[in-house]
Amino acid sequence: MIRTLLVGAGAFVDALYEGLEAQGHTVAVVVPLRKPNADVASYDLDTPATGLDAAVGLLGYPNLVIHVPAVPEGPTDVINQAVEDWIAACEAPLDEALAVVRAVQPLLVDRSPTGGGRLVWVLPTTALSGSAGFVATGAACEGIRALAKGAAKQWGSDGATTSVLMVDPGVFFAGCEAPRADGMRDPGLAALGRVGDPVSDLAPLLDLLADPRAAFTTGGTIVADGGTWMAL
Amino acid sequence: MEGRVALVTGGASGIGLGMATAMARYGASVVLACLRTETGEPAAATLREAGLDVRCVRCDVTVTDDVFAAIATTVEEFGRLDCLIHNAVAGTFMGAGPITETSLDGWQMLVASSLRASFDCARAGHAALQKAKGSLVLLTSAAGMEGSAAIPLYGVVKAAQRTLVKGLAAEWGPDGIRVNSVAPLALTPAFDTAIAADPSLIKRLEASTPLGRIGDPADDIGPVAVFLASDLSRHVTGQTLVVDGGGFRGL
Repeated sequence: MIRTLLVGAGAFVDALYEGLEAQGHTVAVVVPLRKPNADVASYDLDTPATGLDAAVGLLGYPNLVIHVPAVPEGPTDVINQAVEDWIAACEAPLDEALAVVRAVQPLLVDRSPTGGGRLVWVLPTTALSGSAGFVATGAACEGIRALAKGAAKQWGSDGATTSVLMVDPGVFFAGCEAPRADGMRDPGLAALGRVGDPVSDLAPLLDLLADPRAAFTTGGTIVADGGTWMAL
Repeated sequence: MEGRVALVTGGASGIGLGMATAMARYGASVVLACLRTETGEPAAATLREAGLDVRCVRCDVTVTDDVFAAIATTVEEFGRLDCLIHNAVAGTFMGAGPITETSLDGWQMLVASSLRASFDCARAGHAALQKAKGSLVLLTSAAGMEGSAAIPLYGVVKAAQRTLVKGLAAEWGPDGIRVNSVAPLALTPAFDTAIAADPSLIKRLEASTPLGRIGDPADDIGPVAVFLASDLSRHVTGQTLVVDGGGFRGL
């Protein structure tokens, strides 16, 4: 039985929850308490720890922690972006990811009962490509990808691993207005002719990453968008 | 670069000064935007004594008004801004050590000086850069591309800046503004400090560098700034140029 902590909120996270349960995971969802437009200065980086502690109390130590960072859904050009919107789109998701890393580290390293677990971030491919209208969001997500690499390097000797699963922005933003550049929402651009379903396409990959047979991969990025982005 | 105007944040020393020096040698008028004028002014004076057109303005890049004022002063004095290079980063804090133990105050300073300051530079510089069909350059690092065990949070902000460049390049292409990043490795005061703490560092780095030496800020990194600031790179945008003697080859 794989115990999974799913950190995030929204339609995409709900769909991942459904998919992970279908994969046989026992899943606890932790919703970050930060409000989307909270001032970064007042954001308590230890906040997620409280929710994670409660979830671990219910679930037990997790094998898998998945973080889907809260990023704004609508496009904004940088020159028209208010400071608070910039914070919500760039700095707050980075803060949230750092808070998650700090909170889950004791749950994942090998002194935990699970003997070393995996932390996975699910991010849109705008982190790789950049996108007009989603400059701040893309920057935050690429920063999180570097955080995954740094954590992988620091935790490797403790047996804990990290991964990044990158998905099509149209899937990540789940029906909201996704990045408009590069025709990224056009399923016709995907080699497989579609950009993916959270339940049937993405949850099985997350399940695979939690499997001991995937234990030797860490710090890496898997792109699961049906073959739209192949520049890695 | 005769008649061109550039502004470099963190221009008093290290890579910022190297880039400024190179652009000035190629004929540009250059403004060093410096946190401490007591170091920036002498640096500018030394370059002026060499016949170059270099001035210094005080600018704390973590203060939005300072960023806007430095750019406004430059445009007011020179009538234009062709190249804006945001090079400054938070003092000596590099986010070193275990992620779980890193100072959150330091993290916030890293974000403020790297990311918020990039945002402010972009907002403050857009109009002048659009008018000049100019170039915005941000500094990134191999640590942002391959992650870092030693300075993981520095890697985080540098990675974010790299995708910031890609997004801005897409957003500002129609305005005629090019946006690129540079990932340098060069001998700087910060590097000297690291070598003093670990004298074997330079030998290890040289050994892992195909060209066998660590770069010089003005002579090795500077020409890349000239390239990105000039029409030589007029069809280059959204890119990262790694200028480290070949140490990082992951792109």
